[in-house]
Amino acid sequence: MRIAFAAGRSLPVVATAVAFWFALIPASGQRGGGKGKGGPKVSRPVEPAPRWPDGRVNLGSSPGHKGYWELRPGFAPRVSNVPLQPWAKQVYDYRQKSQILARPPYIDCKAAPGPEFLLAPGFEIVDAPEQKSVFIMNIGGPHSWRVIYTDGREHPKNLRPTYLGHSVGKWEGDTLVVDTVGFNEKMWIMGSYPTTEQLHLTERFSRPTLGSLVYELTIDDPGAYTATWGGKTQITESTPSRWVDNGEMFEYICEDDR
Amino acid sequence: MKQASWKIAALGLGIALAAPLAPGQRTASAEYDAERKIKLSGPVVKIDWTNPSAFIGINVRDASGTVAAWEVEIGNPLDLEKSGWRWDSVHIGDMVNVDGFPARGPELQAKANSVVLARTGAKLFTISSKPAVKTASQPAPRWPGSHVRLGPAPGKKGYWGPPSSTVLVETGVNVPMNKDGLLVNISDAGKVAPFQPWAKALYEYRQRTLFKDDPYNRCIPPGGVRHFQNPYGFQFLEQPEIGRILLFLGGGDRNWRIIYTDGRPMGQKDDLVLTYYGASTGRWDKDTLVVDTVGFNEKFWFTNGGLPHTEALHLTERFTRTDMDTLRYQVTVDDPRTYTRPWNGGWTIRWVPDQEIQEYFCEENAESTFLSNGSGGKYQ
Repeated sequence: MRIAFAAGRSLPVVATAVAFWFALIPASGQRGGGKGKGGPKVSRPVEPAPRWPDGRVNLGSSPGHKGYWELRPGFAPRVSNVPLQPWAKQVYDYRQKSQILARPPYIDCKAAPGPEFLLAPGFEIVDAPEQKSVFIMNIGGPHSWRVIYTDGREHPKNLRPTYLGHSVGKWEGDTLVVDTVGFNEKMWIMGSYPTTEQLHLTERFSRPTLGSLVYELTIDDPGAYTATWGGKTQITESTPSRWVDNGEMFEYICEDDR
Repeated sequence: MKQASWKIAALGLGIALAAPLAPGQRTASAEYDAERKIKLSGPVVKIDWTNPSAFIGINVRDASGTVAAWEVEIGNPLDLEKSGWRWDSVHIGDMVNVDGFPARGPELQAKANSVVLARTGAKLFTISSKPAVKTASQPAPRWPGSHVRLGPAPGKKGYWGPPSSTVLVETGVNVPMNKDGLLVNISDAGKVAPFQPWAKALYEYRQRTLFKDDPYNRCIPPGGVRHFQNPYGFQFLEQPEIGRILLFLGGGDRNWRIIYTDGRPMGQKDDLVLTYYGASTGRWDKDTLVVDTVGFNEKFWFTNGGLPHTEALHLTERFTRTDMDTLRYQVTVDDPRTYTRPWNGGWTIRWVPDQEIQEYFCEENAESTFLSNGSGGKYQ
């Protein structure tokens, strides 16, 4: 997938990304999306968030409101004053300078963990109460899925490090709090920041209204940073990124584009 | 060693080489040559504990001092874990002695007969050979007052794992072929399916060239029936209230697929954006989920073995969970441009209880697509 998740990733592939992005719009529009046209100044009607019979907020499709979250450039949480350790700063600086030989793994169709999973063109969050799991499916990136166990289990000891790590989730009021460990060291988090196997990621998802999603993350990685850090972002009724009511996810395969 | 020096030279040049299978890139489906025994000794430099085959990488130094990076297959991770082995049963830097067999195709790849930890003499990754106790299977779980469930019973875990066959041939046909669908006798080609002449010629070409052009080697998605042929597994999430069934796949790049069960008409090919997984609509016929899929593109091989298809392909898949542990998969292949008539095939798939699909990304094994397969051309 060559669509930049964060605005400001100036990669040699941006032209391809933009071309592909515009090519996508009619396709997704045809699939029943299109109440607003996107763009910087939009205002969509505000409706209450859907809920499960037990009162929990549903972060995804409900019988009355099927759909998915469409992402546009600008969704990425803004971060500043990242408390990098010296080695991590060197890695970060190198990645910033050398954009051909060092570029985000998702450009090469590699797995996109944590916040990097939330790539344009979009994703869906699927709560499966019977399986006590929450799945997130992305369209872009490797067109893959991750699973968050909400059955109260703890992280296993000595996890084999993987791209997506091991995620457990619990509800704190109307917020799904997802705790992930067991990452390998191949992720570039928040664009170009390095991580180590000590990474402990906390993500908080909430849906104040039908058309809004708040995403907050905390990065705790004593192997690369001197303090915890993170960011927050949201989709609302007035952002270019949006809930596509009655929209359906579609197929995009990164490998097609290389 | 010739291969190793070629690889180094290639990296020295720095940029893309158009080789379908890069040197040093191992393949989980390699055939091993049981006639040729080899002994390998060296430090472990890599542990890759992923389905269908776990590998350790060891650096082997020869008499001249040249180091070769061998990839040694040690078994299926699920089987190994049942015998108490884990991904951290060996550590990076451990010296090991391996007895095994070399692969026929890829160089520097072998299958271990035994792995011994040099420090202690302990034998690693042995599979306890207790025969599986065959117990009577439980009935399939059901939705209240309705059809069977394709997923676990509420509160349980599990997924669909290994298929009984990894090849697609017309039902009733019995021709010798390996697990990748490579015919023992190319003269049997015409028996596999009712090919149109051009399709038979292409099938034979793909067979003769040992599947070198298979897009799956480049992590192109395992569309068609292929995601039910690989050993990585899959799971269903039925969402009757949304009118769809989600399929989470363990193979390829951990892709997903959606089957709509909301009563919409089957996709009309002319209206569809052509895709790898196609557009799927499903309905229940008693305890069988019947799925019609059209709208396939032509950029992938829809089954192991290299059988061709066109955009006219229409698959009808029937999923029947006959008991707790068994899923019968039957497929009708209807592609009048490729085959002279619709034809059927199928196999069964085994339930893996109390487990979850492990993380596997095809792209992980394509260590650097930029350097290895020429696809990075855009960036040069």
